[in-house]
Amino acid sequence: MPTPRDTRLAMMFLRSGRLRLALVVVALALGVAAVCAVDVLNRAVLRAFVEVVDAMAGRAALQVSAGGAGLFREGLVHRVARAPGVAAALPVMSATTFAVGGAEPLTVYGVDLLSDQPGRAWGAKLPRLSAEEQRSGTPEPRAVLLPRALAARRGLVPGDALELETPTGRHRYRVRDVVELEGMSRSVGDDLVIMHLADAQQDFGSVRLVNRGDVVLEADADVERARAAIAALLPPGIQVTTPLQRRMDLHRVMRSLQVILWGVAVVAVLLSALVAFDAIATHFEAQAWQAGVLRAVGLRTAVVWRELLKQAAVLGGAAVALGVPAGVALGWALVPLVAVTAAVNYKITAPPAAASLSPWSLLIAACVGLAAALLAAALPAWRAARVSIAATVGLRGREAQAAHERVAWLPRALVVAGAIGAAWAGGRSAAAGLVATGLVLAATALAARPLLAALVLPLQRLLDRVTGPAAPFACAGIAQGLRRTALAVAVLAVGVASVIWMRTVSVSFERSLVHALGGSLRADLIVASTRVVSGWVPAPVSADVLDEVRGVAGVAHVAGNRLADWTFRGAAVAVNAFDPAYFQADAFEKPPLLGARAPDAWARVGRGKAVVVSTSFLLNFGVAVGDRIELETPRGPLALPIAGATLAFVSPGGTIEMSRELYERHWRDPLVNRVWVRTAPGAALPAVREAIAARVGHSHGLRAASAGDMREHLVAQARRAFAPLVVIEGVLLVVALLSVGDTLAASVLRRLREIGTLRALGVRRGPVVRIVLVEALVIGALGLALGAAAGVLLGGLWIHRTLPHLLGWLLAFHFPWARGVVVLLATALVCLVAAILPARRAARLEPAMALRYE
Amino acid sequence: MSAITLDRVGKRYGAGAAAVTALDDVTLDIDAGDFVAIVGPSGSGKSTLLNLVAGIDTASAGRVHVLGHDLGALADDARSDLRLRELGFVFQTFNLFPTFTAEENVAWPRRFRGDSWHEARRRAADALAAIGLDASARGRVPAELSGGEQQRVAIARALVNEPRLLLADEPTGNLDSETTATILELFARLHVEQALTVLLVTHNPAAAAHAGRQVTLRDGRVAADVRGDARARGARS
Repeated sequence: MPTPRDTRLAMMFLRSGRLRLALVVVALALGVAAVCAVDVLNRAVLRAFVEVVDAMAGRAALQVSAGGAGLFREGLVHRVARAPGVAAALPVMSATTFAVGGAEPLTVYGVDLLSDQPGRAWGAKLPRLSAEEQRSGTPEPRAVLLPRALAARRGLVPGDALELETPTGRHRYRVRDVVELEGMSRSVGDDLVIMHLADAQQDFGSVRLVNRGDVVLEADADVERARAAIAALLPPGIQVTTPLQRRMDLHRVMRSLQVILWGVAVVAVLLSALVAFDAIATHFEAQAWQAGVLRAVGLRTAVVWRELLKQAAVLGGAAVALGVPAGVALGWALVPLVAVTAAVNYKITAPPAAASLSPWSLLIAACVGLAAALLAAALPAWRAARVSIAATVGLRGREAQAAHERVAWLPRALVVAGAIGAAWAGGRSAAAGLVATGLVLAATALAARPLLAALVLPLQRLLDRVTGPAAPFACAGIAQGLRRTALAVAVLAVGVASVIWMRTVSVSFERSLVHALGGSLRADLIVASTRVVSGWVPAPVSADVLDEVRGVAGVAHVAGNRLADWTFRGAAVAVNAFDPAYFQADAFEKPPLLGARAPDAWARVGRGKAVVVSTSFLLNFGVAVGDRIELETPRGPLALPIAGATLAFVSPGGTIEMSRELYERHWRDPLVNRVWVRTAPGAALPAVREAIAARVGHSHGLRAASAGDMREHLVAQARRAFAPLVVIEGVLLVVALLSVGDTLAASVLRRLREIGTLRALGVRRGPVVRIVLVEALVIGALGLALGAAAGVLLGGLWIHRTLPHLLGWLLAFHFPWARGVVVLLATALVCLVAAILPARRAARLEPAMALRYE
Repeated sequence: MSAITLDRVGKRYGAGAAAVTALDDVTLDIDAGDFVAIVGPSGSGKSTLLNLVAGIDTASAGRVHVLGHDLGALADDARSDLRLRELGFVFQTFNLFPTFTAEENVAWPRRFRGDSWHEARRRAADALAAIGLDASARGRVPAELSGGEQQRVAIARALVNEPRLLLADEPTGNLDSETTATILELFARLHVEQALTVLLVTHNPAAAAHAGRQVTLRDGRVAADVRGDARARGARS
């Protein structure tokens, strides 16, 4: 008896139907590649972003900070150093900068180079200062330390100059020394510039203020007890966190992205399993008489089933061999793109994420490929193994008349009920949204057969008027092979649904963003840094720039804008602060307020008496217009009423719009990210733009863009974020259409004797071809209709329930008409080509030959 | 000793008014070592009778005993085992696997008897040689063989497991007269050399003449049952 591993018989059976089997392998490989690519992406991107978090603290057990952008007094860190269990506390001024002429961001660490604390906190050996510097207590100004790797990359040696772009303008620094960071470089990275704290405060922040304190505990200190002791010393708005906590926060943020990626992988696996099921079922049905012979000669049913499953295992193995390298390559290619997507969406700096291979990635993908192949083959193999021997051996390759099978309503009802339940729960958890997506696609596939069974007769009557006598033959062909035809409709419907779903999400996001930007970017010019520090946010600059811009001829009104990440009730939000002039002057149009609003809402915000929040803020925190919210700031609690709500995409958690005067007072942050400019009546916009560039462009690395340019830039960023989906949609649609094409071609071959009979009885070639075309178009039309309905349903589910939960964005639903037309035309073309070519060939055969076909 | 016993066997397809009676109250006893031809016009129930004896169909009434086993009492797996070990089946349309070579078509049943592939192929080669297929044809697929060669391969497949009972359903139905004669002589030789019990379904009188006993079916019933001597007496008279 052949052992389970003996695949010789399976290999011999697989010598036939190579094109169809190639389709099975390609379809399964698609699912394997998707799983592999997503696993590679998730590991690479998460690891890269976690390294960013680790980079911010090095070996420090705890970190004191005022949220993202807040500054606090340096003396507070010295107070923390005296807390029980603390070995050292290091005041740090960290910032992101760019070298002039460089493209990659650099991290600046400003620390007290006069003390040994940096070395103790980071476990790194930093060069000692000169005796003169030690004696005077003042290190050489604007002298920096660079990691060896960075210096080598830039060809810098001690004594060379390094010009950096800072909020206060471009400054030249001298390379004091090149350092070996050793273990620290693993967590901090090599794109680091270390300077004296006072220099960093002067060039990147404010004197005597820092934005973080790194705390090193004594060897036997209890972390939680020390954390509590430090927290007791801190004023409201300043927090002490552990790296683990920060990592967990980031994990939560990254989880949304990972869920979306896994959602795409689930769809790819479902579609690939469906295509494989269709093709394998066709392959086994063609082999049914051979299964009958196996049984007639004396093989048991279970043995025949096992031998057929071995064929599926061989195909699955081939799919894994093809899909794993393809998935790894795809994952590697997409890592930079997904890293940018995450950075754009979560407003963090995109780290240089590097893909690496994990044995788990390979194992998971291999298991998915084999499992999909075996599951796809299990039912068709069982059917083939249980055929009536007497009925099939006599047919010798001709299809046995399938016994009428009733539609199984119970499993269909259960899937639909599950989909409805999961969709309802989709607003509460990402996992439910994913489950709902899978169930909706499964329900779409299962709906094909009852729909077809219900529509065959009405279709025949309808088509009779259009196509003449071809309709009854076409519909009879559909009814005769109902299960197989329904499978083709199901595959097409799932493919179309996936494409429509993904495109709806991306188009809705883009249009909602454009709509929101149209409301918020209302100025003649917007001046901002050419550098982006986190996602899409321009690098901050000193507010002194406002006076410079105000002095340019042709400029009538100027308002500064600060974008800062903060927390509210423990969740990440953004503060979008504008100068009072923005709110009070009529020069700048404000974005429209949605729903309820206080009288003079914007004026009150400008006076620092209220805030306006985004609609996502209202949703995420369960507050309403009129409620008071209390923000923990570095200066203490700040309570303000909500005067109105607007559509904003600054932060997934929600955006708080307030007066920059108020913000600066409470957060001690004097920087701005953008400068809103209104030109004087009659002033030529291009001339003003050039004048601004001449005044502040070179010195501060700024540029002036029109609101339209800025809108296009942000929309382009959003399009980049969804770019990977375009590739995936294309692949899914091609695989689905290939499967439908294969089914149609097989259908013509199966009916060759019928075609021969028609021709022998006097039917011309034209009507014969028309019969096949009608059947193909019915499949195409039903698949399109079912798929479009499911795609719209899925798009609505994700826009209105899942995405708000996952990302915090509230989007408006927009149907992708352009893509819908492309899908419609592609489907019609494939159905026509897949049917017409074999149909014409069959119609041209001599009737006698066609009648002899087995 | 009886190899096959049919006791008031009936077979109906369908139900109610649309039911079709393929066999009706057939009683038949075939001894071990007999060569029996089942003849009759189309639709008389010949193939149905053969399928019941092979256990690939089940009787609606009566009992079928084959080589001491009551097929009605056997489970599906047990009937499969009986076919694999004790019966050989030759089909009218050969039913060779199109992607297997001639040797592979004959070897695979041995594999399921427990032989290694090497041993299975060796036995297949022996079986093909015994039925007179040229060695050069062993590596060809069925599409590259003549009808007669394909039927020889099918016979070799039926015999490779050394059955006690050989069932053949119109084995010469798709062959020309010259090849038919050759195949029938082969059946006769194997019947003698391997002491096989042979049940041959045919509508060809010339084929039936090779058998020592001829059972005629008409409308699902045994219309005549003539042994060799009686047939010869009938022919002379």
